Amino acid sequence: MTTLIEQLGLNLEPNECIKETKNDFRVNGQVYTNQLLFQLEMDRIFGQTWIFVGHDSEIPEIGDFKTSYIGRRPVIVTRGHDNQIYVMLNRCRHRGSVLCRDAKGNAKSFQCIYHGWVYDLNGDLLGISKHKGGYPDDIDKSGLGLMAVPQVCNYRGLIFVCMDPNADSFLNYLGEAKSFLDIHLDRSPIGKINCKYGAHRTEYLGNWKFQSENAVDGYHGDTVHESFFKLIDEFGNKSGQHGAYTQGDFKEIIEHRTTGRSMGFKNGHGIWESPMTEGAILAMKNGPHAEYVKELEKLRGEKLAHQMLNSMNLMIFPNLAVAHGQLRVIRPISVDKTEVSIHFYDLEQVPENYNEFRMSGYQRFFGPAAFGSPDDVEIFSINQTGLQAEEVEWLILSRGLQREKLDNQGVRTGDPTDETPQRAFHRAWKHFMTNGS
Amino acid sequence: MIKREKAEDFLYMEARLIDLRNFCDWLELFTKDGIYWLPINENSKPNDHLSLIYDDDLRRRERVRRLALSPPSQAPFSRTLHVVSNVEVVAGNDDHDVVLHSVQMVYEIRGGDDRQFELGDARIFAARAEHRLRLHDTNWKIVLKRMVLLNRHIPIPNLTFII
Repeated sequence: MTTLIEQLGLNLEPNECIKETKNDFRVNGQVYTNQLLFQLEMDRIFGQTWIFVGHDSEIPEIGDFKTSYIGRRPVIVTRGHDNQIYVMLNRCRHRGSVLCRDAKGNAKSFQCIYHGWVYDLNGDLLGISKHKGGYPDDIDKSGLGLMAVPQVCNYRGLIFVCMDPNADSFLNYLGEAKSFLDIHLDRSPIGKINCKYGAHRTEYLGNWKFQSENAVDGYHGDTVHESFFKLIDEFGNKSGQHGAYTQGDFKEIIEHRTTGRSMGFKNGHGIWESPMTEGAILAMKNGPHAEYVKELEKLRGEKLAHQMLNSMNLMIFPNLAVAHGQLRVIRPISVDKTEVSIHFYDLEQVPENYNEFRMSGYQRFFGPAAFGSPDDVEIFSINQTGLQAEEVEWLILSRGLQREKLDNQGVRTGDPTDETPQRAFHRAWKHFMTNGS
Repeated sequence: MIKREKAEDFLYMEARLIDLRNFCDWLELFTKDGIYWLPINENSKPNDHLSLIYDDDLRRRERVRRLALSPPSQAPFSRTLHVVSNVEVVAGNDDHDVVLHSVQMVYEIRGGDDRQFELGDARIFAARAEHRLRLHDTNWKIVLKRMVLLNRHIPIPNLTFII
């Protein structure tokens, strides 16, 4: 039997794509440009790891559905008659048509528009059109339902799925990164978020991994977001405070960017964290949102509450970033085209003016017309263009490797501008792409 | 009320200011409490759903200032051409208040090394526009400019220019 790598005719094996020595870490440019590696990723990354497909607040009522993707596989996420979440491949068992062409809605069942087969909200085949005479009367419909995604985990409302029935549970997969996801969710006094504001959607002509890397990159801000810092310098934060930059002037922002940490976890997750200054915490405590800060301190304890006010970006390998009050979902379209959808979320049970304040700050920086994230997206396309010069071969991701600390849980910690999370990402990439060999 | 001919003149003038990159004069077309709004869900209030743009006076000035700072998404910068059509004058509250409806086709293209990704592609943004104007002395000023883009629900790579 030939291996998938042989079938694809890859001239570069995944284990040769990442080169790590004591003081050097390099990633081969083909990781971002090679069509065959991309095909392999759809199988080994998006077919074996836990993929984020949506939040349960997007489908609150029985019969609500949304479509999503596991890599390139179209899926339907539904809330069934029993109020449970179901995730199924969006493909009629008969001749392969997608069942559902709407992005979201409410349905009693799904009928294929090709020949009319009908499926229940949980994927069961309810009926075959013109059944009699065409198929045996006693055909076993139970084996002809929509193919269920083998593993579904609803972690505090976040729906993760895995195509590999033998893969480790989601919580084991998340490992030490779990507490950082909890910090984001526990900013709500009742620990709940709601994706009720819709999403900002953008796309770029570049590989999907650029967004995964950049979501926890503390090194690029000074250059890519210089215009945003200058706006704060000139106009202050009156038009909306973006949590990462609470400081007043350009010099303070640049100085502050060197405080904090970056971390890399097993399975490719990572964080970048920038703590609030004492002055900023004091301003929050005495500002218009004092009530919220006070309640959070009471519920979570002062230390954790203040950490919750920090700017902390979490990347959950491979396709979800949780940062700045948003779920950022990365969807590979092809080796050089990616969609990013940013779902700003509501913190449940906080004063209304606090969510309005958060949204105003969010919209100053994020979205296709905002003053921050379009500059990141531009960089991803710039990267893809530059990588067409294939002879250079290697990208350098060694920043801070020599000062990175490794603990006995396998967690690595670096300075905030270090490429610690990106290295964790690529180690996991190599692990899954080589099936752990 | 305002005659349609006058309404068209106003919209053409606004489009010309944007296309000629005369953004400082464009800012002055708005009242102090004026809003520049590109909704995603046109039936929602701006606090209930994300918008592509929801600019008050300050945010609008920041937007124009940022263009002068040449951020990566606007270096090279966008050139635009607005085609304004289907202009209708809708009755306002009184003689000092009027609502204009129009359809606008905005062509956008960036320069530089136009063979690079994201540069050189001509993009078309089609929109239904609503302008609420108020008479200040002898000048009409914009209280609300609301552009409902046809592509507001699908991924938009870059909308960092003035539309």
